[in-house]
Amino acid sequence: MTSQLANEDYLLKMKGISKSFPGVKALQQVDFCVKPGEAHALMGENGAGKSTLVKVLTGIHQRDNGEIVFDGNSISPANAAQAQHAGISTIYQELNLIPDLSVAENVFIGREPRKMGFIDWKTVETLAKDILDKMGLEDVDVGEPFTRQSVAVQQMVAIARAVSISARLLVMDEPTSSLSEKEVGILFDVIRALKKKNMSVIFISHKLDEVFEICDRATILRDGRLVGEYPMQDLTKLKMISLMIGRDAESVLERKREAADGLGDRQAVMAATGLSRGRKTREVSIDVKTGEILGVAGLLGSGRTELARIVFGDHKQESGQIKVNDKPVSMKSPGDAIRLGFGFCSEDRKEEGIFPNMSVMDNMTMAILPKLSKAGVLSQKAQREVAETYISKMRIATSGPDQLIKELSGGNQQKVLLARWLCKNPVLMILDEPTRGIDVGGKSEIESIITDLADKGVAILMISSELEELIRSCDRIAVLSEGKKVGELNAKEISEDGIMHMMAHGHDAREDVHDE
Amino acid sequence: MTSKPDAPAVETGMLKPIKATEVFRKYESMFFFVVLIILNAFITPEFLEWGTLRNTLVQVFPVMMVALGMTMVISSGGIDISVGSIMAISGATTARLYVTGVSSLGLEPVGLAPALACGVAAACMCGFLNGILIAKCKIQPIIVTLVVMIAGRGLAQIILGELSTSLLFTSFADFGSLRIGGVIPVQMLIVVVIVAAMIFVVKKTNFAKRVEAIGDNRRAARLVGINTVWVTVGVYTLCGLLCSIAGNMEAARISVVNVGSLGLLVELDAIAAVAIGGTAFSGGKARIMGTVFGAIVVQLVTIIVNMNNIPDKYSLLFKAVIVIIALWTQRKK
Repeated sequence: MTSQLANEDYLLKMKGISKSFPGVKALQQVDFCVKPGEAHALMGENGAGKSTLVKVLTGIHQRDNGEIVFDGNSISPANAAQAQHAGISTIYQELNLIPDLSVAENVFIGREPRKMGFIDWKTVETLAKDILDKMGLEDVDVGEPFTRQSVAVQQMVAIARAVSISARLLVMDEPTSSLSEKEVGILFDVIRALKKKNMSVIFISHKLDEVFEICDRATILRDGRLVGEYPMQDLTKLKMISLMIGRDAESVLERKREAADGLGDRQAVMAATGLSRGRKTREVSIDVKTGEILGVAGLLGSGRTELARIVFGDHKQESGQIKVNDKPVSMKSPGDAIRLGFGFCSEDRKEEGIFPNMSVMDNMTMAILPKLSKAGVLSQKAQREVAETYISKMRIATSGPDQLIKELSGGNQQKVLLARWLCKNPVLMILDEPTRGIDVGGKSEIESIITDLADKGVAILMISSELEELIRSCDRIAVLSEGKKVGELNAKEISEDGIMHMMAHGHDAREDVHDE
Repeated sequence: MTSKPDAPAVETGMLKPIKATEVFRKYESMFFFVVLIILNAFITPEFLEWGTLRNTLVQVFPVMMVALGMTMVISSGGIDISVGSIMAISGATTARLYVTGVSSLGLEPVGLAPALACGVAAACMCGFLNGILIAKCKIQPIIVTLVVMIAGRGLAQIILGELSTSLLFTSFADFGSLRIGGVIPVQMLIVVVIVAAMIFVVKKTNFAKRVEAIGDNRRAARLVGINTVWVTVGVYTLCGLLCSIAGNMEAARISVVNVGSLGLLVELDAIAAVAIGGTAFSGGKARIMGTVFGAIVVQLVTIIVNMNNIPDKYSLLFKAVIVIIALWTQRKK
């Protein structure tokens, strides 16, 4: 590949990029090149280093090593503005535009054409209209507030803004995650038009179908290292997945085969039938057995989190029944669920998990205070012992039990929150996105904590948006869509085509499951 | 801590370099305390005499009691502005039973102990009601306690049956001006006991940990199994209990229960004391010693103003400035 680098004409050449964060090598000697006028897919599992690489490129992080050559010049952007000035713009998943201003204002915000010191609104609108027209968006009224537009149009406006500041390279991080199919079509038309004008696009997406549709080449990263650079026509979806996870399909499934044998006749720890609540949860039945990891897959808004909340007693079901060890239970609050031996880690660590201004020790022992106290008087010695045990057992990186939890990294915070329940010897753990926002190293550690737990007989109900994660850890996967359970893949099915199908087609697998 | 208020700051300063602002944030109530003591020593005549110091400590008593309760309420992320009215209700209940009796029910005046018990119970019930409305009915604390603050004075007058009842020449009034060994005012003894009890509660009990957890992150507290409703009710009831001690002791000291003036505006001084004491208004760790010094600081301001013939209105302005400085240094980093 190095020989290629020298010969061909590239818009962007990143060579030997390395970047470390405390405790994690996020990027090691990564090369990444983009030709003019191409859409280039940057692929990898969550935590592979995609976003770090993009952040190095766009000046949000500074590289430790390596070189970036853009348009023939060596650059070292110190912030996003400098990268933008050089001609690199990023379209974020959550748009960083201002909702209440008009479309035109958003296109030109911060650099409005002026006349005698005042903003020349007329020119602003004409220019904005001009740019949008060129992108095939003649219908958009540039004077209307930004929020009135659909998400797709909002995204186009962000692109228009990038185009108008004469960007040469657009970075799109999961641009289609909130778009309808039709809107994706419009976006792709715009991308094709941009390619014709010799603009380049770095395209990051979990949806393989889209990557194959719009991209010309792909660079694949794994665990912070470069796997390789491939023309799209040399790849199949299956090959791409294998490259991303670094194993062929067989090895992924080993754990499942072993586990599948013993699980069938075990008793369900928790069995729910016909759970319904509003439109988010409709007639869902699930059960989890001792030592089993049940995955819950589904799109954002499919009712995954709502289901978890009902099972944990945070929301009351309108109908349906929950049985624990074959006895019907009624839960009025999480406290009731906790008394039954349930534990819950929310998808939103910051808002629903940690007590930010309290110590690691307090955070860890909050659910077992009665155990550590006599007549309501807490034994700090006992509290400290529990904290120290779990800090060393789970290898939590902290200066000690008294450190405030908000000072820890996301992965270590999550370990504290897991320890909060582990020290209670739970029978069922409900984990909602347990590895969200956690770096590569922390992620695999958390995953192994979870599988260890299951091996020790704890039933686990795990929700995740990352299919790969579910496939790696789960013995069984239930798929939700629009509040309903549309299917379930048991250990055997996971081990055969079903799972690869699900991986290859991402979220759309639910339709196939439907047809069963 | 009491004897050398600035010692801890100096010690930590020697261990490792700490930013001056951090030290200030932690010990600001003591900083104000020292500054005001020095200021008073220079400008207030006879300030450093025992009589003046003793009066200061006796006068600060109701504010300090209420502020201790307020510290717990604010630690839980709430606020209670009904404390003054609860003081009045409690004092009115005691005085009615102890002095007047309830003739319509054929009830003769009762002894001091049962009357006080009822006064304390009435205040606790008010706090309980606050807690239920806030935690169970999910109404904003400021609204709930505002309503109780306004309605409370009316209720106090209904209970008392008149605007004011004199306690002169009763053993209750004697208790209010009791000096142990002829020297130490009884209020000082009560302060020592209550402060020690509160420090124990905050440092050692599950209850205080749960209060802090609720103040730090209410959602997380529920999801970790804390019964947020009953802990919140407990906090406001505790605040009511402390208000009853404040109300009854103040009534005994001045030998009168006046439903219009007993505990009037105490909520402002109490909130100021908590602010100066460094308990975060967004909820979190309760700082009992901070509040103790905060309450004294508030009282020292009053004394500077009163004893130097400065019109009272300036004292309110002065306090406002101190509260703003206190909250400004408390703001998020």
